[in-house]
Amino acid sequence: MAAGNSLRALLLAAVLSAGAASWTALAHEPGPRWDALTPEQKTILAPAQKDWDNLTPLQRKRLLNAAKHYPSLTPAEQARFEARIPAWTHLPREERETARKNFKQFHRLPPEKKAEVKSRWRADHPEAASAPPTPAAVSPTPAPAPAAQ
Amino acid sequence: MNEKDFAQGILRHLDRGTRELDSALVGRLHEARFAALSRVPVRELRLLPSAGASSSGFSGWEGPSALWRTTLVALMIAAAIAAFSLWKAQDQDADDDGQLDAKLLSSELPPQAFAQKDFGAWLQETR
Repeated sequence: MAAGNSLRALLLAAVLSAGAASWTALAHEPGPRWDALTPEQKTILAPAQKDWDNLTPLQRKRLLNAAKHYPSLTPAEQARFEARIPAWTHLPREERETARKNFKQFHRLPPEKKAEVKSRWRADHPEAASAPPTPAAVSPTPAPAPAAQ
Repeated sequence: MNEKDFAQGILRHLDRGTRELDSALVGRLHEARFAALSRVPVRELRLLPSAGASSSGFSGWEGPSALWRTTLVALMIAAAIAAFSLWKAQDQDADDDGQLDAKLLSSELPPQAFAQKDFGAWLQETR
């Protein structure tokens, strides 16, 4: 009976170890290094090059996925996209999550409501609203170190 | 005469001796064997090494049964599939977030606007 219990415990431990090892290996797969990016990805994500090695694997993956949609943006949107990357990567993780959540809600609003929110924000932040889309404009506060994902 | 011939000679001699045993003696031997085996617990009998089994240091244990081996393989495959599914789900999330991030970064309002708590409050008021 003891041999049977030991065997069951051994099998269970083996299965759990295999599952944990597989999950750890897959979930913590290191993101690609800057050198491994394609020339197109490097061009789009050039503003993130300086901080690339400090980004978490998930941040790198998200930026690379965001870069896939870059060609479908208008020139004005592309300019804003590039200008905001440095400030975005320096935002604390909690703020990035809040921004995503609020943006989803904002995106679902009807056009007139969106316009109302935009004008209200611009009225409260005239300096940011009138500034060109440069990293300084999208980062009104000093940027902290890159946050862990 | 080599060793093989010698051994076969002994075997022939023993076989002939066995056949020539008195039937009463054979009966007593059979009863004694039966009585001895009846005193051995069943579990010990299962663990007795089978003829020709290799000695592996497990005192006759022949390793996991076929059922256990099959179960182990099935569980390993299930664990691998579960890990792969979780990874794919995370990958899909990252892809969706990539699209969201692209829209967010290129939006008319800067990401910092959406990151503000009062912006969330405005959205609630506006809805």
